Amino acid sequence: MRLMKEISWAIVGFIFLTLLVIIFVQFPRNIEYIGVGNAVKGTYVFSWEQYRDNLHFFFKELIYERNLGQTFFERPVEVEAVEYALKSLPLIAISLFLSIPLGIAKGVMDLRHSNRKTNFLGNGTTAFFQSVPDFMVIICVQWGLMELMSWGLPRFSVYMDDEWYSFILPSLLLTLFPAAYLARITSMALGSQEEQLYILFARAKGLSERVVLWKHMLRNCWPAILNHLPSIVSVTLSNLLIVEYLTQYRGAAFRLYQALGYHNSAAINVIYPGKEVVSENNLIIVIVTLFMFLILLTKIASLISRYFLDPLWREEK
Amino acid sequence: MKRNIPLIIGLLSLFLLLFMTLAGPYLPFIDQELKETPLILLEPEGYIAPPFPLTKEYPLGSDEKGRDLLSLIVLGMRDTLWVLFLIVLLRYVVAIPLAAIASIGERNPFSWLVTKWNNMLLYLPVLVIAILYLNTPYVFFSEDRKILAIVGLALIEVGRLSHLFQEEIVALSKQEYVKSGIVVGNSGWGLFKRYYWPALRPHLFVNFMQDLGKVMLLLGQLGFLGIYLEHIEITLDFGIGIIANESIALPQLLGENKSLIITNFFIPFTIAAAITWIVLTFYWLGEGLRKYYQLRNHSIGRRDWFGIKRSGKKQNETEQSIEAM
Repeated sequence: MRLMKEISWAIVGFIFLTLLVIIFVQFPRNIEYIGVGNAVKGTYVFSWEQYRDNLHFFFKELIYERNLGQTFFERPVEVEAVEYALKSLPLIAISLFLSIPLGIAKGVMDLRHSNRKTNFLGNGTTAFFQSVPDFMVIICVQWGLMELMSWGLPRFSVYMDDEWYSFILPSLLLTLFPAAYLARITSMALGSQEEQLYILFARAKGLSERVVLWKHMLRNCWPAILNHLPSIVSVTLSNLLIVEYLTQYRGAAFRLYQALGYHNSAAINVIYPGKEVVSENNLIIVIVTLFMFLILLTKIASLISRYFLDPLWREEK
Repeated sequence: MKRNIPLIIGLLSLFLLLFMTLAGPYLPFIDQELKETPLILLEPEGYIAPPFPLTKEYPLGSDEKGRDLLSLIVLGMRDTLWVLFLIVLLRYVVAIPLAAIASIGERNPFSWLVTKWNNMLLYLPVLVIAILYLNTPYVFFSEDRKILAIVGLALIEVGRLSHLFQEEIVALSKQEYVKSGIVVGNSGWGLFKRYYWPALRPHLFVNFMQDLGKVMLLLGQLGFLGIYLEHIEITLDFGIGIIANESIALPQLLGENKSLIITNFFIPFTIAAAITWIVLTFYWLGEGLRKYYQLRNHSIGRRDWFGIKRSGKKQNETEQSIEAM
């Protein structure tokens, strides 16, 4: 019962946010040009009629025609969005596939190392990826790779996406930060179990530290870890934008960035009367909705697994 | 571990940061006018166009326009820190009263608002929300873009923060000692001052520092993606307007120079390192304060700010385990 309620709330939240994004993105983008002396100055004038028309047109097309319009490259929005999303999906999948086990293992390791001299190796690296900006780490890795190549490492392209191996580097870069986030959550959750009586009892029975840690403590940490699963996907998506931008990997986040008008700096920096403002609003909406849908799916998955792993939660009203 | 190392590093770093921001511009090797030099003469190489290599005059080299990079960073730091501080301060000014209102009574509409707002933030990364917001035409073309940007970036995460403090306040209100405070007849203000505030203060300070770090990270990411908090529109007389960037705040500098990554790696790297330094300073301060409060709450003997024990009493077990964390 609780499961169904939580899932329906998650779906309601998703729908509400999608509507919010549509309302937000469909703001009219008209610029009016006013003569100032010899020159023409572009100013933004907001009109409610235009805004109402935009929203009306969007929903009318979507509901009656099932049409989302065209992109900059004159292709249907939904086709292009799905195509780019499918390019990003392997990145996200590999990253999650690697970062979840890695992060949990790292969290357990961090806790075991916290009493030793090697603490800086364990908690130090986790703290490093928690605090250092992602772009900093990524540019350093890329630069390091290129330096290594000049020292004799086999050459491969760091910035392109047309080779078969292009997905490897971005997905590895994408693994670092979610893994560190998860490691932190795991080690904190484990730390909170440390002083519980059942742990004392397990140790008193003479169980090995490994069994206590992996079987007894971790079992009780699953709820906390599962609870954070959607946030981990959120961290991954936020990272995806930086990673795709920096490696020029043409995935959904990169396309979103393009659709916002940053695909080449000249296009956004220069405005003049008669310049056609290519509005890719619908593409922005579709990609953002796809991102949110991914998080919704994770949220549902985490709720379902929590239902099976956490009997206390299941019985709670 | 006897000392509170994160706090020591954080405070030293903060001191250095403040020194650089306040006194930095008046140091002799800082070029306050940010002179653009088209060419310099170096002994063996001859004339060199910018970006210049590291020389005595350019301790960190120069950017593409021939401006001294060290001066740029020192002068840009002030602007960056102001914006950062304003965003976080505004966020707290809104979030804390909201949390206080939301934690009064059952079936409170504010409580509902705060919880739902917090849940909504889960669905999209803050970076994406910030980009969408800064790109709305109203904000993009506004004369007061900087103010709108600061307000917007501050408000996005108010829900998360309010929720955090609301939970904290509700948990406190169930504690025995708070109930005893009510029973002995404290007024509302007295209850807040003597019972809630001392327990909330550590959370407030630690979170404030962490938020400063997080917002700096966000500003850095936005700058890196070429999305600035301020830009000016220059209108040229043949009818073309250029949206240009004149600010030297660090995120802007990073965005302007990021294309040099391949040719002159050290220019964007140095700027990114300055941003990283700010992020790390507040990260260490947050961690250090957290540790300071943990040690204080669990210690028998008195300790000073850096975690050094004054009295020679034996540590109890909880304290040891907390230090181990």
